[in-house]
Amino acid sequence: MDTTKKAGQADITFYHPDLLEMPEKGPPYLKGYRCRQCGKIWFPKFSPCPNPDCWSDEMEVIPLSRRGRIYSATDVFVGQSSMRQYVPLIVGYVDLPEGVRIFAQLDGEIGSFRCEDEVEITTGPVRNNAKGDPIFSYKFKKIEKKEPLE
Amino acid sequence: MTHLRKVYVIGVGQTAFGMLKDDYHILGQKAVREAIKDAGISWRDIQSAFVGNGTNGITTGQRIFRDLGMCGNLPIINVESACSSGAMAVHSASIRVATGIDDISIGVGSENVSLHRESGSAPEPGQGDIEAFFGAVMAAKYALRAQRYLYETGATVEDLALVTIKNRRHATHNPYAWRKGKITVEEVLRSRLIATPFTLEQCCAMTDGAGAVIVASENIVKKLGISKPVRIAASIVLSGFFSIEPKDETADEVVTRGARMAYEEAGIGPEDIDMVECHDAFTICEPLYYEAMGFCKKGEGVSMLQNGETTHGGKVVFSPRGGMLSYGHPMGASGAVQIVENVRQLRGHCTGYQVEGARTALSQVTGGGVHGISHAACTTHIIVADW
Repeated sequence: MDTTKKAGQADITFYHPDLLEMPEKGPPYLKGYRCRQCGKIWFPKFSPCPNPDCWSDEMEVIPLSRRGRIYSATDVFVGQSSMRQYVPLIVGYVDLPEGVRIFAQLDGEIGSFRCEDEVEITTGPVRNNAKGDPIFSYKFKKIEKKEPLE
Repeated sequence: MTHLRKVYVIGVGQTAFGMLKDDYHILGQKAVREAIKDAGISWRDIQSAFVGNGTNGITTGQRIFRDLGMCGNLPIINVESACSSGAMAVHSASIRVATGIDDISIGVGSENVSLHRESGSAPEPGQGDIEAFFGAVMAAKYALRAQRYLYETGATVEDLALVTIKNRRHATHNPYAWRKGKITVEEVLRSRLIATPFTLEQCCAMTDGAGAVIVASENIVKKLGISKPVRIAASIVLSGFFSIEPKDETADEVVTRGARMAYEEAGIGPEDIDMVECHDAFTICEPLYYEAMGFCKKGEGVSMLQNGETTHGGKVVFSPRGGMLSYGHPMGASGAVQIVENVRQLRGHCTGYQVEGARTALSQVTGGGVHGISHAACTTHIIVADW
């Protein structure tokens, strides 16, 4: 299924139940899709499995790691019209331990993200829908430095 | 492939580039007419047409040829793969000649962006793309490659600015180029921020323009008595592999694969290439593609640039027309116009920006940002002076 269809046009305020789980108790996580036949993990949702030697329809949801590492990050000062109020936007590639690279918005200060920084998932508005209301989805933020033990 | 016929370029045409009031079909017609005139043939001699366009809608090729009165007289086939479209049109036309279906075919690339696009909006990957949803405009995707490149190699944004300076200088006397002439590192870096490390002057402009390339078989070259024929020695179209796994964004698998296949088809190597027009949509592209196409080792792209190895008098001249950083980048047009300019260079027609003694020229243009695929398309052409 193409979870991105009509995204930004419709009046959705959450993107997307296929991508992001926000449990009542416990922190949010991204949903990976593991093929029951070949074992490959995919994100976002694909069905059938895009492995051309597999094409199995048997995909199971698995929680992806909440923490990852920044491969690269940039502060973006231009954007599509529906994203104007979010500019400047910090975006980056986040590599998760499952071998999945995620393009995501980053929560934090402009110019503060470096390659190889460790980040964790958070949520927040990422753009507006056709009505001008914010759409919530996943983002990543720096892992707070733990206070040194006394 | 020995069973295929040799393919030659017998005519080229282009418009000047910039933000133009003529729509894509008028620009396309200008390029087609110039190419026909350049070839010294009649419109009747052209047996098929391939037209590359990215954003101007459907049946763009028929619209171009209708107003020339040619529609109905030949098959017109529209091809699209974003920024690769124009080169893909030339590739398709050359296949038509190589296989013996036609003796003469034309590949056209044409685009008018500025008449149809909201000012100030950044081009993004295809609709429905998950990365585009989160703000992955093309400038951002290339900026991520640049940030990683700078992190890994220790190069600086000042180094990247040298690409703009070189290409604008190359374009100084090119009447078809748009943004050209002297610009300093300070001016490049002082222009407004687009996506770190890119400032405006490190990004190609969204411009308008068109190019046309007429290809023909060897018997046509003889019939026309062309004394200095330019031959298409390699024409490669590829797509990137799909993977959601981490990959090295400072390398470029599909560009490397395209270049290798082109060298193999042409029977020459990067050391034999005199000049290149590459996909320099952003400054980072040049050092990255020097490396990806085998002109230097990985990580040595910036030093190649600093040492003047990619300008006149160097090992291989990159972007002698000024590249996309001078022409701007009308999606459908760029790939075709790179070939137009390479042909003019081999013929020695580029007064004021001629690559002296150029006998081999490579053009490379990628196209389309789709999640999980490094480039939706990558087109590589090598043309050679066949005399």
